[in-house]
Amino acid sequence: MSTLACIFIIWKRDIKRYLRERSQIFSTLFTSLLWLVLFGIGIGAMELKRVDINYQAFLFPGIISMALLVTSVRSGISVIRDREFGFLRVLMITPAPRHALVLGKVLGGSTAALLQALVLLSLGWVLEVRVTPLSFAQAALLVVLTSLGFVALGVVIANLIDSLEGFNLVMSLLIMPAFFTSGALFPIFVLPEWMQTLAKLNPLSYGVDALREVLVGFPPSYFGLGRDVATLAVFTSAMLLLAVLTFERRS
Amino acid sequence: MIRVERLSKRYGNALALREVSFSVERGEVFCLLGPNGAGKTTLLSILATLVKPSAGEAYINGISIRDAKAVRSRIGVVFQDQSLDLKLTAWENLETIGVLYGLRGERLAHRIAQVLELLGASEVANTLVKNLSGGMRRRVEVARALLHEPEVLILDEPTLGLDPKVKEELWDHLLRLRRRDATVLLSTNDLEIAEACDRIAIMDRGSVVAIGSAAQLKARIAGEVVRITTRAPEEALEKLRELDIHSPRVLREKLAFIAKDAEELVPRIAKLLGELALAIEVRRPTLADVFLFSTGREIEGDKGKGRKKRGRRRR
Repeated sequence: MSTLACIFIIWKRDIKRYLRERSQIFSTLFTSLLWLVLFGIGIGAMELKRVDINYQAFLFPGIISMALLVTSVRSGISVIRDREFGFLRVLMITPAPRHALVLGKVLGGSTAALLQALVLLSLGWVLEVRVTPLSFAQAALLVVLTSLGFVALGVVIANLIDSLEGFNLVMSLLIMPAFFTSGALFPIFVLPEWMQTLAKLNPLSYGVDALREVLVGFPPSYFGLGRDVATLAVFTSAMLLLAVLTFERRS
Repeated sequence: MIRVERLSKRYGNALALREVSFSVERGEVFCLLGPNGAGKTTLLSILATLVKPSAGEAYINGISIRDAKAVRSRIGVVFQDQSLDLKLTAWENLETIGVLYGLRGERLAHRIAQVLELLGASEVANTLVKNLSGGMRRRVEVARALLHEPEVLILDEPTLGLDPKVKEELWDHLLRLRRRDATVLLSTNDLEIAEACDRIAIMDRGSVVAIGSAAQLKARIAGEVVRITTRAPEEALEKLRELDIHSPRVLREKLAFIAKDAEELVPRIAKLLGELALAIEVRRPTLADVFLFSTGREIEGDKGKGRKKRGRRRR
């Protein structure tokens, strides 16, 4: 039994399902555009005293991170759906290793997040963000690294919670605070001390910070790119491990 | 091929399975017959390695079910509730699961085509499962369970909720497996289905109460079965004391018992009961009667019992 083949087929299945769920893709892209255009223009129109930046360009990596966060965590729903629709039981009686099933699922969710991000990245030129082949590639890698962690987090939640309602509740309690304290909408250094602390505890902040560093380059990175990547790597590894453990315990 | 020894399963304080033992020979179509809640699904889930037993042992072709991994590649399972991915085609469903059983490339494609053909589902291979009828989904599920050429096929209520024509079709396909030397273990509360199996284990409240072929089980009832419809079964029984009747069972507005040469007894019964008897029925024993006389209760049959719908509508 080849573990890789099992991971690949689960990944393939989840990607197929994702691509067939057009409304989901459309709604995330549409929401991202609303934030970028309407919110971005509105805030940008105010005179920003302490930070001299093009707000829409500043917002760009933040909105990519938001789309990434939502798509990633939401892919945990597929675990709950599979459980409800009996498909998970069929997976469980195959001789395939459990961790291969989880990894396939996480990779599938992460790929979905990457596809969303790539579409948004290609819009960079509209916002006067010059996306070079290098920064494009760097951003894509960061998106994968960050989304793997958040998809795994979604899977962990799905393993601990039975109902779709419960999952949605946890998700809404998690996503908005994570989004608002990540520095996606405003630079972390202008925030009061207590909010800066929240930002430091929020793994998404490091993703936003790193993406902004490679795509826009201003304001200067709050954490530093090295620390961003290291923190994300630790977060993602821990979440992957937790996802496998909770999945195995549940079965 | 399947050996079950004193298998028990406890959920909290409830005993879902009490020391169940039986064995199934290679190539047999073996049926667990019993009402809902008899423990059939629990038993099948244990054999499918999804649930661990509280006590006892079970073996698939000599391998203990505690060695889950080794057992999994030897069994194919069709669950009671639908379990296909509705957003994939029939082929894609089989492909996904086939890979997880270790099938690849040409061999996988060949097997998928083969099992779909076997179940008469070739023409829907590229149809999204959500667009398939209930009967066709069932067939695709059976096909999926056969992909990796399991030694044992386990089916939990395979015909539940299917209309009679579809049920018959599916059953024809299942019987074709018998000729292929596959061992089939299925559960049902459908007497017709049970009748068509090689052997039957009648289950009630977590225990096996009788095992044998349909003919053997019916032969245990020495005589004919008399069923009397009456408002006062206890009183009726009292009045029939002088007759040579066996194993009386008092039911709701009904009295049932076994008697030899029952036809000849009918006039005497009618005379003794008078107005008390609203109807007297004499019949050769059926499996329903076997259940009644082994448990003291009526089997529910599958009348009006639709397939339980799980989960919510998919978005």
